[in-house]
Amino acid sequence: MTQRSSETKLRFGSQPLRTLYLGELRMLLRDRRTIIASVILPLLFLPLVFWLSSFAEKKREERIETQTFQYAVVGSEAATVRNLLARIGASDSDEELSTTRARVQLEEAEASDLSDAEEKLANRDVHVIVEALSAEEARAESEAGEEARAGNPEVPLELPLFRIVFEGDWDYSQTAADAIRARLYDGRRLTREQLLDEAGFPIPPKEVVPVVEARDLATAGQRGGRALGRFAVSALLLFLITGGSIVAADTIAGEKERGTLETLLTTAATRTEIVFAKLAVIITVGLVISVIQVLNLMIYVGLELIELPENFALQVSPVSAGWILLLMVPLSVLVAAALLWTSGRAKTYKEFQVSFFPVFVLLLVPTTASILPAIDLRSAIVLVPIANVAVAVRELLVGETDWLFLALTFVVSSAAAWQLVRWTLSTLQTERLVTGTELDEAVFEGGPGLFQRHVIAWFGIFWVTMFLVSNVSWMQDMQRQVLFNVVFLFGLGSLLLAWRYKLVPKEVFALRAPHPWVWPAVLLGAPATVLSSMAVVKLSNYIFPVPERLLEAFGQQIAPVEMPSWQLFLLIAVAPGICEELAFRGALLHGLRKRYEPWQLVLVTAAIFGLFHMSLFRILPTATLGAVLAVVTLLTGSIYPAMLWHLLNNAFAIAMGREGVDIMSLDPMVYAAAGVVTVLVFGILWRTRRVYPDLKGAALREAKARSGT
Amino acid sequence: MTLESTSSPTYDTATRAGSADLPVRVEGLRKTFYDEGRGEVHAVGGIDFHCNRGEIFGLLGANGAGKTTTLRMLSTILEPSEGDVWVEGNSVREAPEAVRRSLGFFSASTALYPRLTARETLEFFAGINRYPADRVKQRVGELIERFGITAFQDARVDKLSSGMKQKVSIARTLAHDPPILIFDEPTVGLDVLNALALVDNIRELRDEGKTLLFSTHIMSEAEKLCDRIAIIHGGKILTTGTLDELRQETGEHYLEEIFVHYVKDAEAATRELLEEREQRELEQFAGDGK
Repeated sequence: MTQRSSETKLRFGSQPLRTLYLGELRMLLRDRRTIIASVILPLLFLPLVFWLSSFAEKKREERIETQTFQYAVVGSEAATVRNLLARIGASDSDEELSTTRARVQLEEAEASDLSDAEEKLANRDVHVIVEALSAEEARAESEAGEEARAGNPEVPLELPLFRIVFEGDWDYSQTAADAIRARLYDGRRLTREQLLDEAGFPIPPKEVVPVVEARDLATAGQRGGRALGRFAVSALLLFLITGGSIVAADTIAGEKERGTLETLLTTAATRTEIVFAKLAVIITVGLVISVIQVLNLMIYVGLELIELPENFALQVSPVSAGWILLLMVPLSVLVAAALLWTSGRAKTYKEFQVSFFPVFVLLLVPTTASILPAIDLRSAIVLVPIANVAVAVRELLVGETDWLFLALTFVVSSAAAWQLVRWTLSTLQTERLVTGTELDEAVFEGGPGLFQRHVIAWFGIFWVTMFLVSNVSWMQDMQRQVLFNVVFLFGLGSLLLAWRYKLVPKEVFALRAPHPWVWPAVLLGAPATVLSSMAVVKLSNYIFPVPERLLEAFGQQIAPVEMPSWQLFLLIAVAPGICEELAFRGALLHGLRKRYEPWQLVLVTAAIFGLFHMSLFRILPTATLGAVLAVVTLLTGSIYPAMLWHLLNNAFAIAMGREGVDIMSLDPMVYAAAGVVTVLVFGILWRTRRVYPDLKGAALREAKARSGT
Repeated sequence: MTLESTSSPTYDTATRAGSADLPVRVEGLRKTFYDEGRGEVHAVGGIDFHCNRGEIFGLLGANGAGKTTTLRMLSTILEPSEGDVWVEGNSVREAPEAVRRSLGFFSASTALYPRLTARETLEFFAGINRYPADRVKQRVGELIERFGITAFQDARVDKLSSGMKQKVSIARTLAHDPPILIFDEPTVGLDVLNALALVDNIRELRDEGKTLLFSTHIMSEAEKLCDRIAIIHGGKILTTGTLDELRQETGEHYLEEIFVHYVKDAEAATRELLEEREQRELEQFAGDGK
C-alpha cells in the first residue's frame, strides 16, 4: 500500500478539488432516484413511524377504556376469588388503583369448569380465567408434579392457590391477565389489613407504613438531556449513514461500474484530492440530510404528532454546545470515510450493498454505549471511537464537562477518522481497480512480507481475545489469567505466527548473543530504571499535576498473594519475561521494523504494549517499560537482555511488595543514585551496541555516517 | 538469436541524441502481476522506447501483448514494477501528477459522466486538470466549435449517440491542451465511419504539433497513421522503426507480413529458451535423483 509521495500533498480549495466537489454535487442533484431515496423517503418515513406508533398507542388506550374484558372463575375456591374482586370494586377510590390496569373494565363470564373455560378462552369468548384451587387440591397437584416443583421447594402448600390462565400471544388476554392479577394482589392486601384489624391490631396500615416519596435533585434540563443524550448520537449517525451511503455507493463503486474511474484517475487531480472531494460530498449530503431530518422532527413535534415527555426541557450551555459541534466533526468524517472506504473496496454497486450492512452495524453498535448506564467517559470507553462521542454527548447534554477526557475523545476520534481516510486512499491504489488480479507481491509470496502487513491486525486479535477472556468469570483467578494471556496467547501465539508466516525464529525473535558487557548492565539497569522513572513522574508532578491514580500506578507493587515466593516468581517474573518479550520485542518489533523509523518503532511498540494492560491508568507505566525494553532490544540486537530486564523489573516489584517498601517515597538520594546508574547503564548499552538489523532507513544512516567521517 | 538482439538500431541512436527533449522516454519498464491461478505474470518484461516530438508513435501488438499495461504505466494508473518512464522530463514514479497534467489519455475504458452535459464535461475536465480557471470558458468554446459539438452542447451525455459521445470524449482528452496524447486502442468498438473520423482527428492533432502514442492491433491503422512503429509481443518490444526501415530490415512489404516475420522469430526464440530451460530442469532433476 505504498502511496507515492507527491500524491499525498493536499492543497485545500485547489482547482481539481473544487471542480470535483461541485461536479459531484451537480451530478447528484440530477439523479432523481437518489434524491427520492435519500431525502424524500426518509422525510416521510420517520414521521410516519412516529405517527403510527402514537396512533397505535392511542388505539390501545381507547380499547382499554371502552372494552369490557371477560373473565371466568372456576375451581372450588371460586367464591373466595369473587369475594376478593368484589372488595376491590367497593374501594374504587383507593389511590393505588389509579393506574391504567385499574381502568380496565372486567366482567365475569359464565363457565362450568376449567375445560369449559379453556374452550371459551380458545374461542376468544373469555379473555382470562382464574382457576382457584383449595389448599388440598394445590398440595395434591404439587405432589403429582413433585419433580417439576423440585426447583422451588419453599412454596407453601397450606394455602389456596389462584392461578391466572391466559394466552400470551393474544394481547387482549395479556391485558386482562395483568389487570386481574393487579386486582387480586390488591384484594389480598385489603384482606390482610382486615384480618389484622379483626385480630386486635386496629391500626389503619396507612399510619404505620411511612409515605414514600421521591424527590429528584436533577433539573428538568438534566433529565431531558439524559433522555435525549441516550439516543442523540445514534439518531444522528443513522441520518448521516442513510444520507451518505447512497452518495458513497455512487461515488467509487458507481464510477467503477460506469467506467468513469479510469478517466478520473488519468487526470491531473491527485488521489488525495479525489478522496477529499468525495469525502466532502458525502459529508455535505450527510449533514444536509441530518439537518433536514432534525428540522423535520421539530416540525412534527410542533404539530404534536410526536409527543415529548412531560416537562421536557434542555439546558445546554454554549460551551457544551461548542463541544458537541466540535465532536461532530471527526464523527462525520469517520462515517463518511467508512462509507467511502466500503465503496472503494467494492467493484460494483452490488458489492457495495453486500458489504454495507456489516459496516452499518459496526458504526451503529458503538453508539449504544450511551444507553448503558454504568459507562462514563472517564473510563477505557474514551479510547473507543464513536462510543466515546456517544457517551461524551450524553454527558455534555446533562451538563458535565470534563475537558481532559473530551479532548481525548476528540483526539481518538480524529485519529480513527484519519486512519480510515488513509485506508480509503489506499483503495484508490489503482492496481486493484483496473486489473483483474487482487494480489500483490507480498500476498502472492506470503511469508515475511505479508507478516509485516498483518502483524498489527494479529495483535488486534490478541487484544480482543484477551479482553473477551478477561470477562469470563472462570478466568478471574490470577494463575489462570497469567497462564492463558502470557503463556498461551503471547508465547504460543508468537510461535504460531512465526510458523504460519514461515519466519526464521532466530530473526523474528532476535535470538542473538549480545555483547558480554550487556549482562551486568541489565542487572543494574532494570531496578535503577524503575526508580528513576518513578522520580521522573514525581518531578513532572511539580510542573503539571499528574492524576493521583497515575502516580499510584507508577509506584504499584504486586500485592502479596497467598502463594509461595518461587511460584509467584515463576508466574509474575519468569513467564512474562519470556513470553511477553517473544510477542512484543520479538514478533511485533520484528514485524514493524521496516515500517517505522527506530524512534517511532519504540513509541509504537510501547503504546501497543501499554494498551494490553487494560486498566486505563496502567497504560502509561506499562508503555514506559515497553519503550525501555524496545530500546534495549534495538541497541543489543538481541531479545535476551530484554527478557532478563523484564524479569528483573517484575521481580523487583514483587520483592518491594513483599518487603512492604513504598518506592514512591524513598530518600531522594536513592532516586539520584538510580538516575546516575540508569545513565551509566544506557551509556554501556550504547558503547557496546550491536544494532538490531534491517531497520527502516538503516542503509541511509550508514551512508550518511560514512560520508560524515 | 536471442530476444534482446532483435531490437532495432534506430532506438539506440535516438536516445543518445538529445534525450532531454524527448516528450516520452521509457527505460527498462517492467510490470509483474501476481495471480492465484496463473502465478507470476510478466505483462511487460523490460521495454525501452521513446517518442519524438510531433510524431505518431504506434505500439503494434496482438491482444495480451502488453500494450495496454504499458500505456497504463505511462498514464500512472499502474506503477511500474521496475524501470521508469519520463513524460516531458517528469518521472511517473516521482511526479505522477505532473505527468498526468501533460497527458491526455483516451481508451475504450475511459467513459464519460452520464449526468453531465457535453459542455459541463469539458469544463469539468479542464478544471480538474488544472487548466487556468480564467481561460476555461474560452478553451471549451474552441473545442465545442472544433469538434462540431455546438448543436448538442447542452444535452446530457447519456442522451447522446455513440458518434457524439466519441466527439465529446476526444474533446475531453484535449480539454487542458496537453502536449502528449495517448490513444489506447481507440477504434475498438467503433463503426467504420466513426473509426475513420477518429483516425482523421489523430492525424490533425499530429499536424498541430502534438505528440501521439497510439496502440492498436489493426495493421492497416498502424500502416496509415504511424510515423514510427514498435512491434510488441509477449511483453517485449521486438523492433522499432519507420515503416520503411522495417520493410528494409525484413524484405517484406506489407506491415502484416513484417509483423508476422518478427513475431515468428520471437516465438521461435521463446520456444528455444523454453526448451533449454526444460532441458536444464530435467538434468537438475536427474542430478538430484542420484
